[in-house]
Amino acid sequence: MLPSAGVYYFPWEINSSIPEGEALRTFGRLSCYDLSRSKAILSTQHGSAQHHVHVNTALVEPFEAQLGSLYVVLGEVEHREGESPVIKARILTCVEGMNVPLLEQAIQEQRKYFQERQERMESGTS
Amino acid sequence: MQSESKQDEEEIPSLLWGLDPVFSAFARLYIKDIKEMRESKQVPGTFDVEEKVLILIKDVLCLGIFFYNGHPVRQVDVVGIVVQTKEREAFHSYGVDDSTGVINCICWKNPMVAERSLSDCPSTPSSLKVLEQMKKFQEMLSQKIKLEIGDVIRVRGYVRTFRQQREIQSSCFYKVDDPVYDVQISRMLELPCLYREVYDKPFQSPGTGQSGLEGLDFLIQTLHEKVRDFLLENKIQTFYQQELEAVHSLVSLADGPKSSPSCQVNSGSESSSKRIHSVFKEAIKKLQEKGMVFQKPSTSKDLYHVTDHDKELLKVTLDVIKEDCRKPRHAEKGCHFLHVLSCVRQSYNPNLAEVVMQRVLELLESSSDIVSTMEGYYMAF
Repeated sequence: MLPSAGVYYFPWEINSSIPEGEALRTFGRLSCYDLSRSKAILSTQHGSAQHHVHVNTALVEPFEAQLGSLYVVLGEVEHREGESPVIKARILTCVEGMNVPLLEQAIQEQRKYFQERQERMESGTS
Repeated sequence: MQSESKQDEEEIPSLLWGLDPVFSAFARLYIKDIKEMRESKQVPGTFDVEEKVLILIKDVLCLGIFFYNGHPVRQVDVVGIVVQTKEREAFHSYGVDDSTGVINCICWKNPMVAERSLSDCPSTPSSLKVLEQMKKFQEMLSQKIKLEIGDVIRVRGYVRTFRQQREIQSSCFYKVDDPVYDVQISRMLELPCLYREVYDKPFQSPGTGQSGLEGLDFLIQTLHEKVRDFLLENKIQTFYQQELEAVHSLVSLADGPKSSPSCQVNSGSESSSKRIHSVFKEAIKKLQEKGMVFQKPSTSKDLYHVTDHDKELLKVTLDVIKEDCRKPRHAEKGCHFLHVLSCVRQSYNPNLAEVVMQRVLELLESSSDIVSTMEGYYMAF
């Protein structure tokens, strides 16, 4: 069985409304890594707010944690009562040097295209 | 737009597939679309055989055709992250994720790398060097084709359905070095454009499409270009429409493709000549709109003057600019376009169109008789 596709999310879009088990990918700077509990945090500055994405790294260990570097994570969302959602990483890649604004633009372009196509289909069938 | 909505429609006959450029290209589709596109009824790509048999016939399995939005797709090109790996005796199966979908890619092991031993080659000093290079090359190659989860892969290959699962049988694949993600980002930026420009535009096979109006518009467009070239090449100063209609190369063009649906309504020589007449009229009108030809009230109303070869008009215009540039208020900036136009209208032709004036000024400028000092201002010396 193939896993489902890891859809792009912006770090600031990750919240409790994402369904449990949803496969997604997102990015951020590794600001904290707790080896003993397999926990990492990816942080991003968006506007005036700082966003933190919690990552469970149990499946991708051992890995060389470079604090302060950019990472892309692909995994499934897990919810726990009273806590912010955690991404159980299947893939965690260091992409230090990545052009983040360009990635954001690329994600927007892809979404825009699929949205246009959806609208076209709906207007075509109605 | 998508495969499902087209399900009921008839697919293009296989004879015409080659006319669609997508057919002979490696289509850069989203994995989601590769998994959802409709399989051709004429040449399906489903193979339900044992794996052993599959390996034996792998080289002839490049036959399945699929349809994305009416475009026949034979081969695809994907870039994505490896999210699953399985090893079999003869191939690796990689699950590739491009964020829209995940698909299995069958990547055959390369017997050249795996099996051929280099030890039985003769060992002269020069061949040793070659041998060393070969070894290095093989090492590099084996690194490029050995992939693990998390690696970025690029695969080109054929699409097929195997045990109800859509998969890509690779004809070429390699690990992409993408340390700062730029290969994937540029792909994400490229694909929406490709879809809008190519894949989402319907393929018009000959016979369908091209409504009568479009065909006629195209005819007028072509004819007006041909007439323009004819007038310029032969340095024609004035002409009547009937004269153009006597030029064989132009008439044969205006007669158009007889099989086109727009012409089938009219039959018989009389209506055909009428149609030719109206096509010429439209073409000349187009030339008038562009300022290439114009009419004078002083001459016959059917006579057309070619702007480029009307020496009198060129001279009048040049004189107006020359004279007015001597006046102190035009000395610095030159004359404005509207000023020149009104002067020429007064002294030469009250109905002179702006486009014609524009054309005349362009001609004078390109022959360096006048220069434009700024937008819309001209000066002569």
